[in-house]
Amino acid sequence: MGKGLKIAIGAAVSVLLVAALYLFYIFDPEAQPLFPKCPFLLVTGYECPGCGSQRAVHSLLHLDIGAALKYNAFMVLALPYIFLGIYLEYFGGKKRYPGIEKFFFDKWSAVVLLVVIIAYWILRNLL
Amino acid sequence: MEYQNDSELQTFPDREDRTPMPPPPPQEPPAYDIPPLKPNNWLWQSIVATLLCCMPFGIVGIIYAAKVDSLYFNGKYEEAERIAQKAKMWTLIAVGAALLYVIFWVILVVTGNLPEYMENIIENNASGYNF
Repeated sequence: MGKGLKIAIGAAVSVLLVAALYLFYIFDPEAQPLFPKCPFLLVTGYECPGCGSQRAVHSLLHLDIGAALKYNAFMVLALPYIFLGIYLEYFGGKKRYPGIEKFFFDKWSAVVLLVVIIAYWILRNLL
Repeated sequence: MEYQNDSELQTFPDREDRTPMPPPPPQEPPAYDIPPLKPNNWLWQSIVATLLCCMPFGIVGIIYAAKVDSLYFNGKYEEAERIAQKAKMWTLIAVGAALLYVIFWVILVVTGNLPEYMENIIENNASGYNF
């Protein structure tokens, strides 16, 4: 992939991301029907591990961390992990800190994440 | 002194060239003295996909991510590369499905064609039905 194409894709993704965050900032997904509802929840009536992410993003953008944790604690706690992944992959972190890459993104982190996601999925529907 | 040393160094490769070449060894699969770079295991991307709504596809991506690393560290590099491609595929399927669902939803709402039963569910459970 050429360098120009990479920059173009990066720019397009950044613009879309900022636009999406702006929408999530000005509109409350709880009150607006325009925000899509979870298909799993509509069909089964149970919440999936991603349910509440939109409302959590809205709350986080308004710096209401408590409400965000209530809507989707897993998503809020996963954000630093996702940012770490983005840094390691796209901003040269992989070369600078190969140890961190190996520790946080190896086989066992995948297994642990899988277990945490499934546990969160079950518990959030039971409690 | 220095000049002599230099000339010796310069003639050294020539001498090496004159020795007869050993016969090429029989073709074997590459032994990987230096292992290839670890393929991207798409772990954090599949977490994002899981949170983006398409949870089943995202979870498939996480399972493949775990396999990529265990295969790579057991020295099965080609296999790891192949599974990494699958992790990528499932993660992209998840993101694609999420985008299609969002477009589909927005079209239904804007054209006023949102099925009535969905509207009822949403109204009755105002707080619980956003993903």
